[in-house]
Amino acid sequence: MKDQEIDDLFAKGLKDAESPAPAGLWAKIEAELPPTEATAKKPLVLWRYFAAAAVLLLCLGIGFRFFDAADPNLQAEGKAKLAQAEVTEPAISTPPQEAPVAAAALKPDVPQETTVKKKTAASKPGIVQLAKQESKPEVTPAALAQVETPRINHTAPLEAVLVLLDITPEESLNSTTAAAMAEVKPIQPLVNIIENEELMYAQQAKEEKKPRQSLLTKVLNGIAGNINLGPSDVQFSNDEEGNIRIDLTKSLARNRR
Amino acid sequence: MEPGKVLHIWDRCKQNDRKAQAELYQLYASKMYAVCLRYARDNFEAEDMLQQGFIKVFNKGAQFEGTGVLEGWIRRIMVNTAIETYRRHKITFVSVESEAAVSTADSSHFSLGHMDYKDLLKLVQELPIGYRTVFNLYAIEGYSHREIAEMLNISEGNSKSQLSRARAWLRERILKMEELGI
Repeated sequence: MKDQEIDDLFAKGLKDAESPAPAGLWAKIEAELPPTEATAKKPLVLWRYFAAAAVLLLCLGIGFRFFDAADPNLQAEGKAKLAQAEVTEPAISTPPQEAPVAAAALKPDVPQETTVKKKTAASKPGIVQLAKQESKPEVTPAALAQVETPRINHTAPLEAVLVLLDITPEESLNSTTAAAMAEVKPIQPLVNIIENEELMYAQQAKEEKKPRQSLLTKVLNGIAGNINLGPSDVQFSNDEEGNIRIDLTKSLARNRR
Repeated sequence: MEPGKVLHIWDRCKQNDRKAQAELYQLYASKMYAVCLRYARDNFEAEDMLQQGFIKVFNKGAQFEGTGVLEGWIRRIMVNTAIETYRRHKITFVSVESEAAVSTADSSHFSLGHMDYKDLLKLVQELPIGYRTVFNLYAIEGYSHREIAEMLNISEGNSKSQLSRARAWLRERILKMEELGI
């Protein structure tokens, strides 16, 4: 058998042959083809679902944020802030009371002191001006005049004052800072206001002491607090034993009184 | 089917029309499956080739300008897919010289004239992969040794020797079958 015969035999028998393709192959091919316009809608729908899920999550997140506001820790934080606000409020209103004192301090006993005061006024105009503004309604005309004078003078050139005092700029700077410190002293300690101090400490102590209580215990303790009994007369606890001891006779005796 | 209609289907295929793609597949699947079977070791490998080939046809549709015959272009894609398979398997299978026993199952009255498609295909499929690919490309597809050397990334001499070995292998098998048939 020659080479050509073999080639012809196979070429004739195989070249234009047909063999039925396996069933289900088209489905496999179709699965790997790029999506057509009809099937391209699917991702869009999916995208919508994702968007809906995102919005839902966002809403849940916001909801939780507000829900968390009811959390005891955050409540305590809020109360602390409130207390701070209460503390700072009187502090702002104090200058009217202290302003006259400051004004008195400004009163020129000795010429030197006045000049120093003037310079402090120049270095800390904001504070002094605030004090002045606040004090205006309460101080007498005389005091007003005394306060007014430094305000008018502190615009005067600093050099002139230095010449009067016969001191170097560095020295003057030191003296002014010392004076400024002396000036600030009465305003600084906010705790000095006795009522506020009590308020602060009492509140914080309360928060720390507070143990975990169930609703029932809370209510009962609330009642106990309102009927004005001694601390040991009525006691409630969260324990499994759940003992409640109420000394009614004592309370009755006290109520009668 | 007249060429005009085929080209119309092809135009729709290029626009990713799924229905037209299915029609084209129906039109050429059996012919191309026959091509794949010649290059494949078995039906499963041929099926894989056919699948990959058709995916290429639809994805690279823009590359066919319509200047040649569509069927010829699709056939070339199938052959190229087969060559890719050959490249993948060459390293693992080139040294394995199939020493398969002569099949005697359906060779009771054997002669060249009576060898049908199934017998011929069986013989080709039983060829070692190197012989099979070169024999297919040269004897059936009609490529020259130079073209085959380029396609398979081998030397022209290698292509020639592979072809002569393939012929010898087939001749031996056919003679044995004839002997058994007589």
